[in-house]
Amino acid sequence: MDWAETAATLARARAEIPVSFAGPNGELCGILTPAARKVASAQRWVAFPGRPRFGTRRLRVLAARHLAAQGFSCLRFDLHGSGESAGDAVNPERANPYGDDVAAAIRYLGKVDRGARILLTGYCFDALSAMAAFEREPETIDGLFFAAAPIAVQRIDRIAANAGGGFRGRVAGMLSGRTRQPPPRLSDRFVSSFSALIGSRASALLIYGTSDYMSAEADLLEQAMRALGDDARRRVILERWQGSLRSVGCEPAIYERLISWAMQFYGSAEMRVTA
Amino acid sequence: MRRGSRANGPIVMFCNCLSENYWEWRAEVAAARAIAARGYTTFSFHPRAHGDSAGDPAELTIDGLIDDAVAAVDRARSMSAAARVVWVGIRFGAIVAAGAISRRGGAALALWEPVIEPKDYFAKLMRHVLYYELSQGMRPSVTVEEMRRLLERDGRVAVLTFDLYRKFTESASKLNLPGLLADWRGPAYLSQFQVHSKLSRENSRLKDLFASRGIRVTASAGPHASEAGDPWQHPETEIDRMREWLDGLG
Repeated sequence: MDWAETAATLARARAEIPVSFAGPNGELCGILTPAARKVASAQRWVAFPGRPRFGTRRLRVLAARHLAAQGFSCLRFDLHGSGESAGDAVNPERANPYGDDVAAAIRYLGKVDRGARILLTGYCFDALSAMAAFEREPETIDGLFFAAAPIAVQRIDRIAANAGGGFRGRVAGMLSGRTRQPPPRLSDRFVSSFSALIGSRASALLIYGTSDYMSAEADLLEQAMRALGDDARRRVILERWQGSLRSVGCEPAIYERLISWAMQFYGSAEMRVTA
Repeated sequence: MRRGSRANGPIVMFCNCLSENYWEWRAEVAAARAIAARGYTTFSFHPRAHGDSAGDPAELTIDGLIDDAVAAVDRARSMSAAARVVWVGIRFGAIVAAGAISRRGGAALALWEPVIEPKDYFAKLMRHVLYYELSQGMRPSVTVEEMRRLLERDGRVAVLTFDLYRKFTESASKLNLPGLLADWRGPAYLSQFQVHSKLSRENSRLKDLFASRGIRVTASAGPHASEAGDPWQHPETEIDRMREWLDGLG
């Protein structure tokens, strides 16, 4: 995909509106990118909860403008404690995603556009926060794009895991500060959010890289998904990409997948509505 | 723009670009809010190809970034009655602020962990890729020399939080901070955003150079609000010290 600015995306950039809305920890700030009118897909929104939007590798900004040019209105906003939103700047923790912030954004979009249908997106911690919103506001969420987020109780040490038992395992364990790791399992927090996703009518695409340290966490997810019913397995897809989703410079491929999935997803949803 | 209540206060212009650190923009926002609360008018902006602004990073040059800073200060002046401008250059933004000073002047300059030699800075960014991959349990996929060759061959190479483009690195590598400020003699503030509480060798040299030119320079190197954490994430102490320096300018 060519990420270069076009007349259509530049027009969307010029139409952008700074917005703010109440969150549980104070005001949340964001940018609303209205869909191009000529191709507007009624009430279809893509929301990007996230952290900073400054810098030159601003794929979320460009993805929002691209989607808006294709007819989907977008909302990018800073989670609390990030960018321009209120709140303390603390390091994100896998056990504490900001689902309440995302739920606040969903309620805000409901006020801006009654009957809005929303596709949520996120990478890493932002993805966890997006998924956690299913526990609060599942009714208006149509879909979730979820990339490379930590979902186990704690990071599974890849070096130790690969080393297995024996001398190498003990050395790797000592290097990682643990001589014995508890058996890995999905975190209760994630299981709760994931259950809410499964219980909703929404679709989801979850992606992980095979060479990331999180790949072992995705193995746990894959096991859990085998127990899902047919309907859930049709709606919720896990993709395992060869390589890494955390390597330097991998972001364009992730956002390209988001755009193609959103277009395909809403394209088929439109067809269902028409039919 | 955040309007302050001081009748004769300067306008404080923030210059930031590239943004290699997750918390840099947040630190700028926190500083602008704190300084505005003290009565100063502040102005922040996203230069071309950054954040919410338009533009193609492949076409970025240092002159373009300086043009944007000049356009920003002209706009800020047209919106306020401030006669004086205090520049705040954050990381690579220090080079841009210095370039803007050479075109539009400035009453004072605050530097937050400034990039002094762009050429060295680009090499450091490439080394950080290797450190990152090691920290993720990966084998380094590329050497610094290979990244240099990629930049030369393809015109672009990915570093941690952004892409380096040949056009930009070539345009910026010709410049350095001391050279851009060769004719400037206003008061300066040098803030080190590192865990160490002693000025680094690079920052010490810059301070000494400023002093040798007769520039009144105030340096700050911690301790920070978060002794063990990332000073960019907890910039409160540095912001307080810069506010005191601003108050002292009169």
